[in-house]
Amino acid sequence: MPKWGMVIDLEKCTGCQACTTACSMENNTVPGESWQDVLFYQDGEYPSSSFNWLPRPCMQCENPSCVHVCPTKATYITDDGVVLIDWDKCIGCKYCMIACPYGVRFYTDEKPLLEPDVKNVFASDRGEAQSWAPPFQNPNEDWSKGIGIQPDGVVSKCTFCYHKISKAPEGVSDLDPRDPELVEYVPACVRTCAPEARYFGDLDNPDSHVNKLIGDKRGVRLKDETGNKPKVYYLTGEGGSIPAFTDRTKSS
Amino acid sequence: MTSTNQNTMVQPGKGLQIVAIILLVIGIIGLYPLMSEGGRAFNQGSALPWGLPVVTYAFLALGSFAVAIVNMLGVLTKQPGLCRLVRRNLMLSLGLSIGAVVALALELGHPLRSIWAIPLNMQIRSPLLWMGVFWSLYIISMLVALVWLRNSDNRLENRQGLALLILVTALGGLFTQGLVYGMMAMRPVWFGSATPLYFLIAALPLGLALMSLFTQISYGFRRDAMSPDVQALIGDLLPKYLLVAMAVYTLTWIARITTGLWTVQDGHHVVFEHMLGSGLFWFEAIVGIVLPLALLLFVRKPSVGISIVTGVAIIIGLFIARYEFVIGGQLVPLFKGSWEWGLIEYAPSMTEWMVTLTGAALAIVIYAFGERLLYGKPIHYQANQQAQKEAS
Repeated sequence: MPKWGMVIDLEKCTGCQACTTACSMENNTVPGESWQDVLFYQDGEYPSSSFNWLPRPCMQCENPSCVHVCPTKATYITDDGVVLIDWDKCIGCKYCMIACPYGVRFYTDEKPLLEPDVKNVFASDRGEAQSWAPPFQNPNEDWSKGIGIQPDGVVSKCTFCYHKISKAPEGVSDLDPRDPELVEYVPACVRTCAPEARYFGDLDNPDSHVNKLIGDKRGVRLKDETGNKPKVYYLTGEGGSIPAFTDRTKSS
Repeated sequence: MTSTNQNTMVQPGKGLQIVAIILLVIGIIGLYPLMSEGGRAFNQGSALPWGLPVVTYAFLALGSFAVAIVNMLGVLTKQPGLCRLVRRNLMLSLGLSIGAVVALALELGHPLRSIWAIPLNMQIRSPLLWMGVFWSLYIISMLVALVWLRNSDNRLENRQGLALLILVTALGGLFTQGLVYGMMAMRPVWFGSATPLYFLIAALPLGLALMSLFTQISYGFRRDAMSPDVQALIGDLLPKYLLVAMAVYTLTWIARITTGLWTVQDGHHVVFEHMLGSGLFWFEAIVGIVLPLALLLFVRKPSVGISIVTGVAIIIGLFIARYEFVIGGQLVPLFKGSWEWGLIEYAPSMTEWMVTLTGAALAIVIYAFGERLLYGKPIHYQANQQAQKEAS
C-alpha cells in the first residue's frame, strides 16, 4: 500500500493559481471554498519588502488532529494515508476545522464569499442533499469519501483527488503527469501546474522521485511542532520561504 | 411566617413564567432566517467556525455544571440552606443544560445525526465524545434525583451516592468542556493543561451568581418569604462564597491577561493586545469584575437589590469572558495569506443573538415551569413545609 505525499517546489511556483482553478473545477467547490489555494504574503516595508506565495492544499497529515477530534469518525484516514470525510457521518460540529492547524477545511453552509451566490445561480433541486448544481459535476460522487457536490451542513476538504489516485496501478512510485499511462490518476492540481512545481508519489517507496526531492533539497513541512506530520513537503531553496502570520493592519 | 410563605408562593413563579415565555417566543421567531437560509444566517464562517451560538452553549453548560457542583457539595456536606434548595437548583441545572444543548443543536449542521453517529462510532480520542458521556449521565442522574424528590419526605442528603454521581458527572462534563479547547496546540490562546482548571475557576462564580439570582427571583425578591436556612444562605453565606470565588477568578483572569500580553508566541499576544483595545474588555473589567468585587467586599449584609446587581454583573461579565475566550482563540487566521490581512473580524448576526436568547429563555422556562410540572406546586412551598414540619 503506498503512502501518498506531495512535494511543492516554491522556487518553481509562479503563483498563477492554475492549481486552485483546476481543483475547483474538478471538485465543484464554490468561491471561498478553496480546497487548494495559493496564498500571497507581503513581508517587510519598502524598499526592502518581499512578496511571497505559498500553495496550500490539505496537508494529509500522518497524525491528523482533525481525525482525533471528530466525535463521529466522519473524518478518517485511509490505508494509503489520505484523510477523507464521510459526509453521511459528518454532523457539522466544525471541531475538525478548529483542530486543523492549516485552515484547509470548509463548512458548506455559510455566507457566500461573492454575490450573486453561485449556489442560487445554479440551484439544486435535490434540497439539502446537494447544495448546488453546477453545469459540470464530478461523476465520481462518493459521500463516504467526501467526493462530489457537497450536501448542506457538512465540512469539506481536499481529498488529494482520491477518486483518481485510488485507481492508480499498484506498485507505482510516482504519479508523473508527463507519463501518458499515469496522467489520468494524477491529482488535478499536480496535472495542471504549468511550471511543474508539484510532484506526487509514494513516500514509503525509497526510490520514488518525491523521496529523492525531499532528501536532496531538504523538504520541510509546515507547523511540524503541532505533531500532525504533514505529507505535503515544501522545497524552499534559496528563493522561497514559508511565511508566518503578522497582523498587517497594525504595522501599516 | 406561615401565611407569608403561602401567600408569596404563587406570584413570583407566574411572573417568571410570563417573562420567560415572552423571551422564548421572541427568540423562536428570530430564528426564522436560520430555518429559511440555514448556516448563511450566521456571520461565522470557515475562517472563524465557532461564533456566538458556541459561546452561548459553553456559557449555559458551565452555568449548569457549576450550579450542580455547588449544590451537590452543599448536599454532601449537609449545608442546610443548599439542602433546602436542592430541588430548585437541580431544576436550574437541568434548564441550563437543556438550553445549552438546544443552542448547540441550532449551531450543528446535522443535530439529529449526532444522536446516533456519536455513540455508534465511539471516537474515544475526541473530548466531544466524553463530554457527551458525562453530560448524558449528568442529566439522567439529575432526572432520577428530581423524580425521587417528588416525595417531599425524601431528602437528597440521605442519598449521598446519587449526589456524588451528579457531582462527579458535572465535574467530568466541565473538565472535558475545558479539554475541548485546552488540547488545541494550534490555537495558542486556548492551548494548555490549565485550561480545564480555568473553566472550573470561571464557572464557580457563575454558578453561585445564578443560584443567588434565581432563588431571589423565585421568592419574589423577598427575604422574609424564605425559610431561615435559605435566608442565611442567600443573605450571608452565598455572598461570602461568591467573594472567594470571584477573588480566585480575578487572580486567574489577571494571570491570563498578563501572560497573554507578555508572551512573544506567534498568534498569542496579538489577540490579547486586540482584546485590551476593545471597549468590551473594559466593560467586562469594570462591570463584570470590579463592581461585583467591590460590592461583595464592602457591603457586609447585602440587601436584595445589592445581591441582584452583584449577581447580574457577574453573569454579564462571565458571558463576555466566554465570548472573548471562544472568539479570541480563533482570531488569528490560519494560512489565509492576504485573504485575511489582519485578525479575523467577527460580529454576531441578529440570528446568532436569537440563538442566545432562545437558549437562555428555554433554560428559564424549564426552571419556571419545571417545579410545577414535576411537583404540582412551587418548590419553595415544599421547602417551607419541610421547614415548618421540622420547626414544629
